[in-house]
Amino acid sequence: MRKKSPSHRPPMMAQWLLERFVDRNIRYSALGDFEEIYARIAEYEGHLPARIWYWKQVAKSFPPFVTDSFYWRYTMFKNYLIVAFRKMLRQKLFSLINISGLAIGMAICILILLWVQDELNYDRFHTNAENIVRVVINDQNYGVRWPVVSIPIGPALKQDFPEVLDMVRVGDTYGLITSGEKKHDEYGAYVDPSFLDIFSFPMIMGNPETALSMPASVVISRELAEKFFGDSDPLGESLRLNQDLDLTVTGVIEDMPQNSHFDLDFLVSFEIYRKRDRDPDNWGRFQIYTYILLQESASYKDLATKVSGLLQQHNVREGPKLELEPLTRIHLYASDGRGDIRYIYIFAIVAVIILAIACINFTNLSTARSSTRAKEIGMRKVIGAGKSDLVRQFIGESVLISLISFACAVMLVWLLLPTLNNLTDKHLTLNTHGNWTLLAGFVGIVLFAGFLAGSYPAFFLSSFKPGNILKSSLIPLHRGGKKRTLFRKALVVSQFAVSIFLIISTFAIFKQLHFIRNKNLGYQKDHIISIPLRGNASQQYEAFKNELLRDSRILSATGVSESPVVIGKIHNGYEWEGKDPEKESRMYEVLVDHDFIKTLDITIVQGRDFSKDYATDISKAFILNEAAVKGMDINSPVGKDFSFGDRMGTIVGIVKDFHFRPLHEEIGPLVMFCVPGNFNRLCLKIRPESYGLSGTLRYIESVWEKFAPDFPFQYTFLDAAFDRLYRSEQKTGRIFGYFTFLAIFISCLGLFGLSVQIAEQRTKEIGIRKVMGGSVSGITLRLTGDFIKWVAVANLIAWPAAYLAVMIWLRNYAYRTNVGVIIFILASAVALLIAFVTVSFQAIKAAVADPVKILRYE
Amino acid sequence: MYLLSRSEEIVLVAVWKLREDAYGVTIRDHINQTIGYEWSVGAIYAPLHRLEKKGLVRTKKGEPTSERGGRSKIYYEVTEEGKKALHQMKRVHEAIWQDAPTLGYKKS
Repeated sequence: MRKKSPSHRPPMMAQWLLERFVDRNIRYSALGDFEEIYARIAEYEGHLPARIWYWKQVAKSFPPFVTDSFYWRYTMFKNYLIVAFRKMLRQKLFSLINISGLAIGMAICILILLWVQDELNYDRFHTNAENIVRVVINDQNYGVRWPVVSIPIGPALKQDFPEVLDMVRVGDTYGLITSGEKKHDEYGAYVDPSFLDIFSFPMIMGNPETALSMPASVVISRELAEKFFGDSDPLGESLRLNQDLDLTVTGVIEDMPQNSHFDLDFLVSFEIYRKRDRDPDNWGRFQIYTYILLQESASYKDLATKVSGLLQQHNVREGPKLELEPLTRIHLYASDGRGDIRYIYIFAIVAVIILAIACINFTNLSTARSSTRAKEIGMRKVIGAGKSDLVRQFIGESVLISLISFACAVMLVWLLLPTLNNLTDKHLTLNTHGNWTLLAGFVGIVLFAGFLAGSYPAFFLSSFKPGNILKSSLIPLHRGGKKRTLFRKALVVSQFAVSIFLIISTFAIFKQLHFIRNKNLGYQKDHIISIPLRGNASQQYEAFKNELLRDSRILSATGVSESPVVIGKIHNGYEWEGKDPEKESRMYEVLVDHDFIKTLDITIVQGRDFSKDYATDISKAFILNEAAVKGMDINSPVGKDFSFGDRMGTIVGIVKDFHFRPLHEEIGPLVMFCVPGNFNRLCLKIRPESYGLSGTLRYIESVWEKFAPDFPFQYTFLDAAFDRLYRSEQKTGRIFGYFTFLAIFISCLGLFGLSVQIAEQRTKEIGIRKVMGGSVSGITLRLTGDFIKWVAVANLIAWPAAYLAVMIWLRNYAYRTNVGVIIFILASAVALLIAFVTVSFQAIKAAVADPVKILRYE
Repeated sequence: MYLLSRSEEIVLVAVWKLREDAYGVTIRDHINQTIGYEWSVGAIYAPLHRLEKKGLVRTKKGEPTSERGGRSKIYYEVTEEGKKALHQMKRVHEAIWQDAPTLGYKKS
């Protein structure tokens, strides 16, 4: 017996290599034999010769390994590639349909990917993004969440909770900034000095440590610096805010990026805000934003449970609770965020669906045209290709097509990006530098499309029996084809079902938007100009108003505390005669002038309007809307006592409900009182445009210049302001419209391809029919009938699905259009018409062809 | 008529000759000794594998041994088919050489 020691084993590395190189059929016995021989040589001649011998074997087995795998792989790959390109060039029409469909689908996917990524990346550029949370109020009295809190909360959190590293209060403001002759209205904020610490807004000039510590300092954005100071050094220059606050520029920051929920152009010390506030230590006045920076290890949820009741410890009434909201969720989830997570899901799904429709084209056309590949497949199988080789070949081909389509898609995206940016107010770019998610998304799109489109044809084509194919010159087109055509039909039906679904949804969105625009709001929004009151125009309100009314083009004017398009102020604590003490008394309130109801043409259903004839109207009169009366549960309300705080009086009138909130909401209870001198806006009713709108505006501006020359003259039309409320809906509707169009286009491409294929297949049949006396129209109908049937079936699937989706979407609106059958029928008619035109083009071509030529072709 | 390559013939005969003890190492040794032609270890496996696929030899697993790194010996033996092939081969060889004039003496 030879004693074995570990050193008798061949070198590990060589063994490992040998294992890879040796053909797998003989690997087991060969490795055993090699080892035995190695042991023998080691025994008789020593380890070194044994090792050399073993390595020699490794080296010897290497060349065959290379030829076997690399060489053949390369050769076959070259062959596959050549065959694929040859096929593509020979079937130009079908390649064009496949590639253009896929390219459009991919372009949409890429665009949506860019958009989704941008939405998800909001506020993530801050170094501390993960640890910043915003403090918000969940007010259970009103059932609303306020993004603003009271002034003392921030410092208290920082002081009492060790996990809070820092806090910053942000009181945003819209104000006039002047420097010498230049004046601009800008958005800015009063912030604590920690603002530049907590958030990552890079400073171009000035010292971030001290820039905001001085009370009279201001940090401005690059844009603002250029606006006011051009190329000269802004540091140390002075600016004036709202004509009463002199500030010195101590720093310049980079413009805030578009994907930040802040959009501020100047930052002023929060101390100024605090000093000017009439009650800064009150815990119950919610007016400023507060952000806190948490320790890396702290969880905001734990802290949230600890602070939730903090307000009540400081004598705030029951109801409002503190809540915490991570910075990165503000954009998509918060009530004041401009994004909406639901749209992200909807558009992501739409993207995948459209890509799937394009993939279906590929699947359908390649199975329908399988006859053109049958001989090749038969040949390959006879020579020795296994099923898996063919599957690999065909999937490879579809990945190749999807790669070519991707290149086209990138070009399309490049062309379409400006339009999308325009629609979404974003600055999306196709910049892949360092954007790994995007690159991964690209690879994902190519592979997804390639595999989805190619897998069915690959398995289907590779299962051809070579005997059958090669034996008969007749290619088994219809043999066992029933299941196959059924599958193909199902795919076409699903394509059109999706298209019809999208058409119905688009119609429904536009119908609702039309409904909103034309809804009788209960007040007159046309020919009303609304101007914000500032400076002396506000302080000398009566004089300003009377001066304007001297011109006959201005029919009437009224001051109002808020734009009547959206009234946001809501209060609790109204009392009235016969009120159930337990009852909630939450109502919207608006301060109006005597002329408000007259100017806006609001209907009075009971009682009277505010009137100058009654001196007490200024202090004691209330006018309610019908919704308020209904909620108060009160009979003959006019003349009853009504009070809010120290304002006690009577109800003098009831107005018909009008929409002072977006149509998403039911009309709520509203209280109007007449307090001249407390107005933020002036609404002017002007004569219709035939009198010359620009002249009227010039006149108003000249009066403005007389009263408030320091402030730029601004105005909006009430109907435009109203339209702006629904801008995101309009945009979504338009984007949806584009997507629908493209989905239909891609579906039609596929349908067109199939109809070409079928017309080709049935040439002989058509010829014989014509010889036997078939008419052109009869043959056309016969050819198109089938397709039309599929599209009709698609309707059956699309209708209920679309109905459900539309109903869910409309639930967002308290006031919604009646969906009706018409849009369903219209959508189906559109789809049928498009399908018919697509198919009949080929069918007519086939039907009018000369039968002699057709039948002679063999 | 069995179509065998030269290397397959040589290996098949070697397996037949070695009887119970035919596996990679012995087959190689045998061929090296009888033909005097140094075959590399790897070179015998390809013909062996082809013979196996044609059904002329079959494999049998032996006990694992430590000197083979814990692997079993793979023994080869000639099947009935293989014997027929050997018969035929022998006949053909003899038929080919019958009545051939002598080649004279030549040292190989």
